[in-house]
Amino acid sequence: MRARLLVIAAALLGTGAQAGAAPEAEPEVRYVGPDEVKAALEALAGPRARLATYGKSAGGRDLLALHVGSADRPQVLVIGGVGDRDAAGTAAALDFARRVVAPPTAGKGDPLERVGFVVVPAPNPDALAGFLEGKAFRRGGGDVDRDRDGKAGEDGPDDLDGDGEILWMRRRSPTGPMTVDDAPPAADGKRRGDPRLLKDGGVDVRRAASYERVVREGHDDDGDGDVDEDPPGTDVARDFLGDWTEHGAWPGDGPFPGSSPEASALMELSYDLESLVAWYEMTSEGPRLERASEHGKDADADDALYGALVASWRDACGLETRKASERPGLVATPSSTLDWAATHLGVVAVRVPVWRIEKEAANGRERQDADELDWLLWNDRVLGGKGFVPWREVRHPQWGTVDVGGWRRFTRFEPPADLLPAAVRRVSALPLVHVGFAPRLDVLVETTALGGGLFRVRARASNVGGGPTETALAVKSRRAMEVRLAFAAASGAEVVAGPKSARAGVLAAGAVSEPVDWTVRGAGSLGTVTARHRIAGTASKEARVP
Amino acid sequence: VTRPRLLAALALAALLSAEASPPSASADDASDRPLLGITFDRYYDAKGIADVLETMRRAFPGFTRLESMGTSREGRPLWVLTVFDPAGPPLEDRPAMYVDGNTHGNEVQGAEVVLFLAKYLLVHRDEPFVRALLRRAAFHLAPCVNPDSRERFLHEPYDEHSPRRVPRPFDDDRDGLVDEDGPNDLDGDGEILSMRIADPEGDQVTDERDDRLMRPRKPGEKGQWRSLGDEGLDDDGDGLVDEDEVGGVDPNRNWPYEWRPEQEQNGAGPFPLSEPETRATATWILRHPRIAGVQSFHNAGQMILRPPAARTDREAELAHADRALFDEIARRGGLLLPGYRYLQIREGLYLVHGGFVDWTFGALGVFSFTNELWGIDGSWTTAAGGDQALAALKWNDVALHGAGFVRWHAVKHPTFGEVQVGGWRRRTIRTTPTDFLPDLCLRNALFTIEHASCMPDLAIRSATVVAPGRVRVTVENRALLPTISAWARSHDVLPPDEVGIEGGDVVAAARVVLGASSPETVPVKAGRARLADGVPGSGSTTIDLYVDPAAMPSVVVVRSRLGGVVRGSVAR
Repeated sequence: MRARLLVIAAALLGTGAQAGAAPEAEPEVRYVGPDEVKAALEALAGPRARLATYGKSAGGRDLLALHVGSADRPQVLVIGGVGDRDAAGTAAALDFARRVVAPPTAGKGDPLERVGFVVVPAPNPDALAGFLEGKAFRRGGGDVDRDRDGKAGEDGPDDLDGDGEILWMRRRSPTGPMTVDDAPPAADGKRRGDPRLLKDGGVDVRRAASYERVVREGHDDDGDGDVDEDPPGTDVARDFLGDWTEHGAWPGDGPFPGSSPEASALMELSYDLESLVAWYEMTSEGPRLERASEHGKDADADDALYGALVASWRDACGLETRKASERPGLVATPSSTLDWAATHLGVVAVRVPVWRIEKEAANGRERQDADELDWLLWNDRVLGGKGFVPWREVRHPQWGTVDVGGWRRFTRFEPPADLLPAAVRRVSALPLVHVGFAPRLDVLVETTALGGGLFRVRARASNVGGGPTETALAVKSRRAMEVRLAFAAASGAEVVAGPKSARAGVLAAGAVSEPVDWTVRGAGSLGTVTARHRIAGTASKEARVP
Repeated sequence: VTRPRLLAALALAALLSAEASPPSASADDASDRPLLGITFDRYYDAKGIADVLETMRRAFPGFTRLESMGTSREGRPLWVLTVFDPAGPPLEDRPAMYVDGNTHGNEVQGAEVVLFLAKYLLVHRDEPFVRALLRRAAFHLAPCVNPDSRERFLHEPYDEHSPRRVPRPFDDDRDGLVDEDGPNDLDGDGEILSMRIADPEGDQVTDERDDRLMRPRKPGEKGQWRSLGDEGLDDDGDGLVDEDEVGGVDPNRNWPYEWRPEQEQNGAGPFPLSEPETRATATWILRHPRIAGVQSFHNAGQMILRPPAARTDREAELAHADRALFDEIARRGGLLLPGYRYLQIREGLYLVHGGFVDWTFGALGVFSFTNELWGIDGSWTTAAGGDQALAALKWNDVALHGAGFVRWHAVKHPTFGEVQVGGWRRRTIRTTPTDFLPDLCLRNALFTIEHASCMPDLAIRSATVVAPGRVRVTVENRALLPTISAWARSHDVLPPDEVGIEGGDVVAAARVVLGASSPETVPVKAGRARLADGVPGSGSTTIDLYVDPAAMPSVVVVRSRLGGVVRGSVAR
């Protein structure tokens, strides 16, 4: 089946080129804030796309979705990242919108014949604006009283040294578990550590210098003895409904899942898309694509489907995929976007990172993907060391002397502006792969004469698309719909026996349903059999006297 | 509760159980006359509720605040009337009792109970007990938190059991269409009854004891009837009748505590607080963190229900101390509500995920009850030999003179041919008939007032300088409930109570424990001593505050999330 899918995808995307291959006229790719996103989407609205508002952010900004193509087709949702610093994800989602709204050039198929897209480049516009302004630490959502002192969002990060950046802070402590990562070079001269990094060394009071874990730059704004414990806004990326198996209060951010208007509006938008088939989320940084499952193993039920998708994604952008739960250092959270999409909507869900670097040749560590040392070496080699602010002593109002330093914006967690276009173009067309995985219905009809002017009309529904009508998780979550078969008698014909509407089950790609029979009296045209499904749409075929 | 108060409650309960007395929410003062027209011999629709609330607000502007928590899906306000005595501390510094009704659209009498309670409090505002309660606490009264479905129930053909949910368009039968197959009033009488069809192969026959009833046919017996469910049509042609009515989310399965998705909990909704009604209510409650008691009115079955709702007490590890407090409030309520059974929801009724009172207790740490209003007294069932259906009909014959049950009658059905339609009207076995409403309202309003009187009642009994730089403070709680329950403590859902001084900082604190060999260290944060266990109900806590001897305080302040804010002068 995979070969057939690749043929379809190739026909739609061009002549066998990668999905990320540049179209004829490359649209400009750069970091854009919510106002520019809005203007760009308004410019894209037209015959092929409709712009709609699906809610308002906590800061009062419109939450905008561009509906591209027909709503009657299977819908693929493409969003920019919902996190605090996903500006590169926004740029990628907007670039995707431009690609898919542009009319197909001669010789290429139009993906909109098979699917529709709902593109949300800026699902967390307040955070996007705050990050790009760079004035302070700012996120979406409303303020939360995490420390339950009656004040919400009153103790967030602060720019201690007045350099205009919120960096990181490390504090010396004899009982701190961290130590400087200064392993000497290997015999071949390759680096194995860097004094700018800390590593977990356990508590050892004999050590010359020990540190507490690195935290955000800031002080104790509310005088309760804690630093940065109640930052403003909500971590919207931890405010979704993911896997709900825990006992007790919501362990994400905010008082309940969807407490931020950004998260609840996006959940509502996606829930209302009955024909949704996939969720593509463009995020700023990461070495690989990440598919559900983030928490728990629910999405493993759809491993076979993901297996085919992973191969196509690799072909399209060159990147490998891992389960989100396999991310090193993952702090399990049941509030992720991927688990919302996979577990509760029953759709394919994948996170597509824009920014990564290759492993550095001078790094002597054993590792699968680029690690923090690679990033530092890359910073030194490519950015001349300017991306990482060296640790320097700063007077802290509560803690005495601390070290402040770390990654600036547009370095480690999102690409420098000049590297953004290439990074975006490598992945921004990836959702087009799903054109080859959308279900599509056809109807097979046989008519047999029974005598006495009666005919048996036997119909089957078939799925001629590249993906199942429902995922295993959709079936489990009761969101699934069985394909329905119905018969409408032609004028002058009469149904003698048979159901008004019959269930034809869930159909895998290429599958054919069990038959449904009607006994019909008539001549010439007996009527029309229609197959219908919430995602795969409708297909009809006339039944005629043989 | 004081002993005289308890005796008064007992006397009242005895009086009420002796005869169906008129509501005592009557006007005997000229200033109460504006409320005379608010009677409980009817069900108020959305406009009626708004008018009643506005009448109360206008009559007692100093004692009330009227606001909308938000709007329903169809745009109706979710009213909440706050009743309090302005002579007490600022509203934001007092404990408050939140009371709502009509969560399920068909369970309408809850709204009348809440309106009755509002009127009762206003009319009795000068009675010493009520006055004291209204001065130290407040009542947040939300008569109807599902106004769209209430409006349908009151103005459109439905049976007593629907519409229960909120009107989010929902594809119950997963056929790609939403709300396309609801009930239909075949005979145009304004009621949705039951349908049956004569069928010799049917599995039902007429019950010899009462021809309004059917019973299963016995082996060898010829069938008479086949039940066709609710009165209606197969609107969508799928062979099923009334399987996809308006709405699809149960507003009492949509709360973010022990929530489970649709495949595990019918009516859960797409995500917790997905509905405008539940979300607005939750957001409003979270903005009123001093809510220290919760009561929700549903129907039916005459029950006083308490959480946990998704786990047994044992599974939830509910502390004995908390269970004893629930039991005590319910015991007092039971005196006012004869015939009501007191049950733990999971153990005594059924498993509920995402229930409202599970959230208010489990996530907010607030003692909460749900009352299931109305039911036919058990003595009728006893008289009917334990058969509830027969008992209900006998009750109907005596109490409603037979008008509650529509006799089976022939109706032409467009698909099935001739069928019979009959059964229970609304305002009978599940919805209180209006003649019975005042008594039900009074008893349940008194139960809620009793619960409210159990909310923490803090005072600084003494604050004395015992040495330079050292102030001994005794904080007492004169009510039943502690400021922090064992549940709240063990699940860390409430902040510690804080004891501080005005104009300065506490630098250290110690709890004075009688019989202990040394004082117990009390943590201090941001200049305030923090009592993680709060102040026990019907008890007190004594601590020594250590302060700068050069700046001895004159006022001590206690801040408790559920107990409110109280101040006391320091004696030297």
